[in-house]
Amino acid sequence: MKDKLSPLEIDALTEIFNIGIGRAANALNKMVSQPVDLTIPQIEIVPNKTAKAKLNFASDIEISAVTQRFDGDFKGQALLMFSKESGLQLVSTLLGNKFPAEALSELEQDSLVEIGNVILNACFGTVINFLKSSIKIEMPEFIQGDINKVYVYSSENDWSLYIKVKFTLPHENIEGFISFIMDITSLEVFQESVRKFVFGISHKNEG
Amino acid sequence: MDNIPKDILFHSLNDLSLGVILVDQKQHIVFYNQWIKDHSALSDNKGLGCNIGDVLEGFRDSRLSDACTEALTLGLPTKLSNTFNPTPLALFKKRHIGDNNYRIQQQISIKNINTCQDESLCEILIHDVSSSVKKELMLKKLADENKKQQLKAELANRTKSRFLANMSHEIRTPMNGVLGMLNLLSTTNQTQEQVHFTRLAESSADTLLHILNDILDFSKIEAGKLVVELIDYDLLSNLSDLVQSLSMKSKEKQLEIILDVTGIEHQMVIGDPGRLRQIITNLVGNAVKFTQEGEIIVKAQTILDDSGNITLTVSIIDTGIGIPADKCSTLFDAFTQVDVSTTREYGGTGLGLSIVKQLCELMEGSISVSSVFGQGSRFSFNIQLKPSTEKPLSQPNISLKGIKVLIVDDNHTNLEVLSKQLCIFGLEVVQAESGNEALILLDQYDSHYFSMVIIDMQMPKMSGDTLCAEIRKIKSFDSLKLIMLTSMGQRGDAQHFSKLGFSAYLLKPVVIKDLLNTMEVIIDNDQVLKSTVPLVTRHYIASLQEVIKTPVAKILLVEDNRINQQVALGILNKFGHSVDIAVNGINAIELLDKQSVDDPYQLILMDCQMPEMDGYAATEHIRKNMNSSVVSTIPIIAMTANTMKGDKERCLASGMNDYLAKPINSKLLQEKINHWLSTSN
Repeated sequence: MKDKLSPLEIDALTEIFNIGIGRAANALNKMVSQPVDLTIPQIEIVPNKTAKAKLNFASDIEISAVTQRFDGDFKGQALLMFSKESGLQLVSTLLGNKFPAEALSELEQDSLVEIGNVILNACFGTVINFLKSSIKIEMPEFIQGDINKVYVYSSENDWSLYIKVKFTLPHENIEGFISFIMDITSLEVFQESVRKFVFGISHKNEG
Repeated sequence: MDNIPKDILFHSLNDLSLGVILVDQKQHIVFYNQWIKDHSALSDNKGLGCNIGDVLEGFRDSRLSDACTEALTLGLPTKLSNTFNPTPLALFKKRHIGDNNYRIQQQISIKNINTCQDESLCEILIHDVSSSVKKELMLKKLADENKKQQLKAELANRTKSRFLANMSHEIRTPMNGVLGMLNLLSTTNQTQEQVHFTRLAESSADTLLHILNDILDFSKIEAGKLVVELIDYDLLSNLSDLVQSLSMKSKEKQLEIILDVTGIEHQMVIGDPGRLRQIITNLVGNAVKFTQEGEIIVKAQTILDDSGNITLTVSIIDTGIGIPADKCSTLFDAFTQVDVSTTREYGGTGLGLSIVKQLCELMEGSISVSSVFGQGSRFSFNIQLKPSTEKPLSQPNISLKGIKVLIVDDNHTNLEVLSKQLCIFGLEVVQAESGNEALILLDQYDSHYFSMVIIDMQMPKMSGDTLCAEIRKIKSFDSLKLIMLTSMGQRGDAQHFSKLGFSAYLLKPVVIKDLLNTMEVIIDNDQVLKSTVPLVTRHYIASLQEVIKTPVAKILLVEDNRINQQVALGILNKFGHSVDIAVNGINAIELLDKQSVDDPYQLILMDCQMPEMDGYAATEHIRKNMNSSVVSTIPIIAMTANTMKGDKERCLASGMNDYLAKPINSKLLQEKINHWLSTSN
């Protein structure tokens, strides 16, 4: 990667993603009876290997993930990941289940896909709206397995946009992780768009 | 693929078993397939070109409509799950169009598709998931029902435990009265007939209490509520004391109980002494019950393994009626006895061995039995203990090293066991199996070779006292000390043996610690001995070790049950304590508030279950809210009939210092009182 994003650029990125994710929270609140709040405390651009380590999922931990592939100005794979327990807890809280089960049923799995879809779409929407990028996005899919099955990348040299998402529910907080795994060229294009966006804003402010 | 005729594509779209709707940028319907016609109010190309919200009920202001907008403007695909959006569109089962009871359970995908005219359309795909929903609903209902049953069962189990605790309390309270009153009755002046009746009543009440304890233990084990304690204790003295007390019963039948602890290499251990006692008491009790003549050997040994655990193996070997081979395997099952007639002849609940087995298993061990019918049985069990780092409380002073002793006993096992034990402490032992042999041996050695002769009383041909008389006839043996071991303790024995020329007499089975202490006293305190007591007995040894005389105290007894008040009062008065009675916690606090500064209460005995204010609440109040430090630190001993798991912890948590289970054992009560009086001074 040529240059890292400056702290100001990272701040801007965090801000626009928070706006997008806020819209996702609104959508979720319309769907369910429990109030949900979503925040992004942390965004980083790191090598895939580092991102995988940051996820801090032990290799024997089962992960539930929703993934959407994308192609266009930049290409790669977006992932929203939970530990299996967190995923279960999120779904049963949102569906108001009285007795939380030990595994997601097929229909409950679909609900997790919908939640993931809403959140990832919000991120994509942000990228398209703010960064004026043109990308084509695939239907969401559900993946379950350990970190090595879920978090797959083709090259050590690839980078990812690592986003931590906090779900604030009435009685508990649940952590999820978003990763946009991209190849190096895509990432450069992405960073360029971020710089342009920040430049545009600061330019506007000066003018 | 590109040149597939349009009508083929059209047909296949219509044949799909899912709904397809295409809308344009203005959300006007461009196409819908046959499935939609079959399941909605749309038919005969009705609604084509119309806004989808106008012709399909449920679309307007739905997440579906938002998703269509997102797909058309940003190209974002959306999946609407059934759980969050069960029946968004007005779609019905075939032939039930319009009937909301037959609305189809939907799962919808929305995505943008690019057409050749460079204008994108939005494709809405609708899956009918009604059958999956129905299936999952049923499964969920089953799972919920299951969970509900489970919670119900847990509640029932808790109720059962509470019931047991209550029953235990309810039965023990009057039992306490009965046993206590009988105990007091036996100290009054009674005719011989009354003494006899009292004794019978006492033993019946005792038996009843045992049965009650068995049933309670059994239910506790069944409910998984029995906890094994882990405390440091002296294995050797625990076993010695136990066998000593068990031999009381065997004496009535003239059976000898021999304790062989020569295999015990670890004196201080960590484990549950109470439960070990319970196991051995039960097994020896059985042995005594089923043995008419002969002996009962209790043989114990410890082995330390590589992982640092001690395996304690104890065998109880009797010469009783034995058990038929085919009954051995079912012996440890609950409610089983060798045959029903045994119950009538020998009594018992049939729970004893089952409890013993489960106690062994709780302590990571096992139990087995081997028996020859008509010749005797051997019960062997092992349990796991941990080595303790504490020092034994009473290690005999080894001033006895090198002392030469002659032991005379006709019972070979006894002779061996006693010799081995004394050898461990460095004494030199010579054995004789009869009085005659002893006299011959004494004659063979130098007259000052032996310092002491230990003589068994009950021997054939020449009894212990005859042997003593023979020895005393010989002048050169004047300085030789004689110790008598007897299984039959009788009143007046001390005087009798003293007159004969014995320096000490001890009851069998002899506790090695006592024997060593006795020997020390005889050798060292020759002078003292002459001037004080004529003879050293176990009680004398015990009293020598007692440093402080029993103190007398002012005690507040808090107890609501009138009979229990009388029992406790009787015991306490017997020990010379002055006692005031409070009938509940409130009353107790009033008395403590009003007490005089010069003569305060020194100790409180607190019942736990009382009306108005129970013992826990009263203790908490005393500990937290009473200003005077004399009151707030006063020792409080709980007396409770609850013996379920956690009772002790609850008592201590509320601020009590100690805990005593009802029925109150007068000896134990006095011990606890002495202990707490001495620590609080």
